[in-house]
Amino acid sequence: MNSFLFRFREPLSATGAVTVVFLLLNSWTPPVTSSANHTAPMTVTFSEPEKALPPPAKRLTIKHKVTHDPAPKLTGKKPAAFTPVTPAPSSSPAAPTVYASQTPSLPALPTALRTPPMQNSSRNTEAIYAERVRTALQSAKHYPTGREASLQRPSGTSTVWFIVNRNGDLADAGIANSSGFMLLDNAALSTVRRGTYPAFPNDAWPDKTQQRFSVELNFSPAY
Amino acid sequence: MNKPFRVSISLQRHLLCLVIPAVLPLTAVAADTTDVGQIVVNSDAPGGGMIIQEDTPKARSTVTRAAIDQKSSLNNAFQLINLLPGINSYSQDATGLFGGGLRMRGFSSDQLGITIDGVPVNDAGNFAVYPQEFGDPENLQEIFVTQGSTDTDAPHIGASGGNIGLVTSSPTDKSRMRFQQTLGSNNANKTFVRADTGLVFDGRLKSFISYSEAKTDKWKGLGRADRKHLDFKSVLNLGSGNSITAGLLWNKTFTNNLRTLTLAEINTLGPNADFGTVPPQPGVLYPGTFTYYNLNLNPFKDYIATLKGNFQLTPALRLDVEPYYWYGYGTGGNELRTLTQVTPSVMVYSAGLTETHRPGITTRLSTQIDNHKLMAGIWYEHSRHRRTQPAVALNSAGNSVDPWLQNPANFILLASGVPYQGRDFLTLSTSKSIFFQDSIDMMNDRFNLVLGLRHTGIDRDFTNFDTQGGGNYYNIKRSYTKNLPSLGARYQLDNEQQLFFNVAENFRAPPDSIYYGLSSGGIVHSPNVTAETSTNYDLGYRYAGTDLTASGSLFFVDFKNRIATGWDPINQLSTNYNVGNSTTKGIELESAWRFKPKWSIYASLTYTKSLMLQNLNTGPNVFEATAGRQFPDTPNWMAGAALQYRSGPWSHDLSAKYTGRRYSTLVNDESVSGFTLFSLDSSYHLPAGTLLHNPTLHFNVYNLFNTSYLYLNTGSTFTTRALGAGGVAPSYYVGAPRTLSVMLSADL
Repeated sequence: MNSFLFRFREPLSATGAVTVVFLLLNSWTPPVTSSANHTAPMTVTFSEPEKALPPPAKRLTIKHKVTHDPAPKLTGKKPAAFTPVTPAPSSSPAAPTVYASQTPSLPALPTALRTPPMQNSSRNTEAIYAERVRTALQSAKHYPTGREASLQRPSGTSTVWFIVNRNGDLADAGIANSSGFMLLDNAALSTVRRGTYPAFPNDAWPDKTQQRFSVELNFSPAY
Repeated sequence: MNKPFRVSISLQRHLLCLVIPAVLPLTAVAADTTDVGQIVVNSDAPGGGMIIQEDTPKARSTVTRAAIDQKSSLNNAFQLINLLPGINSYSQDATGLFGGGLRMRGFSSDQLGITIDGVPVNDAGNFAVYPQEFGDPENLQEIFVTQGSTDTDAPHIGASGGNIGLVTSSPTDKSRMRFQQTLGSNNANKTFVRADTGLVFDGRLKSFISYSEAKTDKWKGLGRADRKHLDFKSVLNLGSGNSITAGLLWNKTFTNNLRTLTLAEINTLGPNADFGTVPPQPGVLYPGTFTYYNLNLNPFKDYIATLKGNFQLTPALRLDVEPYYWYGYGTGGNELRTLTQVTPSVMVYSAGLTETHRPGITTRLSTQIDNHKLMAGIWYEHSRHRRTQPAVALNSAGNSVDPWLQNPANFILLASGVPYQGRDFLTLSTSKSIFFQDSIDMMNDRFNLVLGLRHTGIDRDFTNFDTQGGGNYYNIKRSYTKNLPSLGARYQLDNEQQLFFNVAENFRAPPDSIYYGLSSGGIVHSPNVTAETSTNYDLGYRYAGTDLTASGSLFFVDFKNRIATGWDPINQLSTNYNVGNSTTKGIELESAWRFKPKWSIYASLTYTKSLMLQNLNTGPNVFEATAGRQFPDTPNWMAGAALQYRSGPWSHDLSAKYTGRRYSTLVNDESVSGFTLFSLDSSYHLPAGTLLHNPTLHFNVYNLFNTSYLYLNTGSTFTTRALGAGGVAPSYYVGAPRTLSVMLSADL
């Protein structure tokens, strides 16, 4: 038997390899396209806590890019309130313990624009969830390896958008802003795709089945 | 609703990629998006830079800048990768300035593909590699090794084994002037100066130029090594992933060779025996056994000019155009000969002289279509490899009048007025490789499949000119091509663990030595040699944790048609011929473990079992008993370890490399014992001064415990048999004793 395997090692291994490839290609399913069902009103979500919050427990820092979409072209309903998160201290159910130390935050908006308590607590949960997404990405991140990466040693920043379903599955992902290097864009997408995200808490984005996120991955070979 | 540009886009819409980015506000994040923030992704190199968290689906190891920095500045590239799994490297002395060799999975360095910044540096004719001709370690950013399978887009036609790539550093972003001075045992000294411009012209251009001179005496006998080296690199950043890089490497070495000894000679003359110190007297004829140290030399100069154009045409389409030019000139070996073709016979300085011109270009197009990363390209090289063997006279002091053999006015003429030439070959080789690779990501990037195919070939045009030593004129043309498929698969079990598998075919065209000496008895024989091929299988597992990084693979190599000196039954002569098949199997493991905040340990373990399948045909009906034997210089066990301590300004590495018992002959009738070599590498960052920045002191000790050991002097040609009639005692390099070096480095 051994000598049979050895004598015909080449055709056997070639057949085996071709079979494996065929089965794999057969089992490939196209990525789930986003079934964007954005019937809920658009809200800009920020995770800017008020200055009076207790000190952070986690050592991670979130540097928020405060971006306002200048003119969201919506075909559906207009956003109810275009406001940053400024939870009124009295209504916060529990002091969020997972906030990181912030870089100087926005000044608090006038009272007229402050959001009602219900929306505030959901925004806190959303910020906590965003932190968990960040942790998942930190765990999955990797700098590309291989001949091309060794010879090019690229550095750059790729901005990735990704859509997560309520149950934590990744629905779709893509490059929002290319780093200029395919290697880094691929590694960025791969990081997002490999991440395992938790299910949404009930009060995070309660009206939505999916939420869109974005992350900036700043690559540098470092050594 | 505005949707930002997506990478996954069909081929027909590629053209729109040029238009859409200009239209959309790229920096804006859509209104309903939660920004998770910025995450920094660095390539970690744990174990003091001895390993990286790899995810290529093939056996691969890397040594990075941090590890290279710890070693002596005199070292060559083969010494720097010595601890990696699968690597059996040796150096003629502690400094590496005299050269050295390497074996990987039983393959010698002339069966592996070596590149510097993607440019092949194996000899155009016989694929030999000389590590002392490579770059300064100060400018080396990383060395990567693929133990089994040659990379699909690598420019090699002489690699039946895997490949090794040297990557040089980029110029720094900040302007800087760096000085380094090294002093060491055996009058070793090296001065290195590097000037970096930093980012100039609005951050678009950065360049560096460095020059070094390194010298050392031989650790035994008289003579020295003298190496001058220049590196230049300039990077023009055109923005959006586009850049043009120009580079130049220039190297000039002049070394006196170290003498190899057989076991009998070690026993009678002692391990420190070297070449003679008495020069030849004018007018006296000496027998072939006479040696004089200053006529056993290796002068060689080479340069590599590279230009790389990397263009990101669209975010999903990349074009790389990388032309290069390699030039080498030199001679080497025992250059003392008796010239009998003149009257009266006279002692001369004469040995093979090689001059090579090698322009080449690699062009590559990469694109991303859905989850397929496609790459296609061409490598094309034309080399002009001229080998002659003139003779020059010796002066009254017994030294050569022209050690570089570069002035034709010095060449000794025959009675006919023509310069004597011991040989005169011209090999014109056109090498090309058309390659294609598809890297497919599936299952949310947990599964990666890489399919590769390269159509690689070489056309040889060999001319043997009429000479006194080389026979009559003849010309031979041969072509060797092969289609080389490869398949790699990686499955990510979770974020830390992965499994990988790789199968690849490698190919090594016959060296041009198969065309030598084919003219005899008035006829020109036709070489019947086919290329070496091998199929390499890797199956491995990797773990990449916070404090522990590990990688292990099982491998199997099916090596066919090995080329060595053997009997060509068709031509009835002893020549370079296909001598049979072999298999090699084993395990390669490496890991880095940070077991305390300031302590880590890097360790590697290699088990290799090689097996020759046939007896060696050395003459008409004459066979040597090689079937069932192992390859020489391929130990069953090798292990490496480096204990590292990093605290504040102090860095200490205590490394050890165990090389097991190795056979010295093909029939395995002589072997040399295993040994462990220890070295200590320490550095201390001195407090910064006002004028000098980053002052550092390095202290390196090679062979810490003064172990006695021997290295085999091998390429891919082995001694067949030591014992019995017709046996030849194999010769060894004696390992260098304890050697120290101290280096002071500072930036302005």
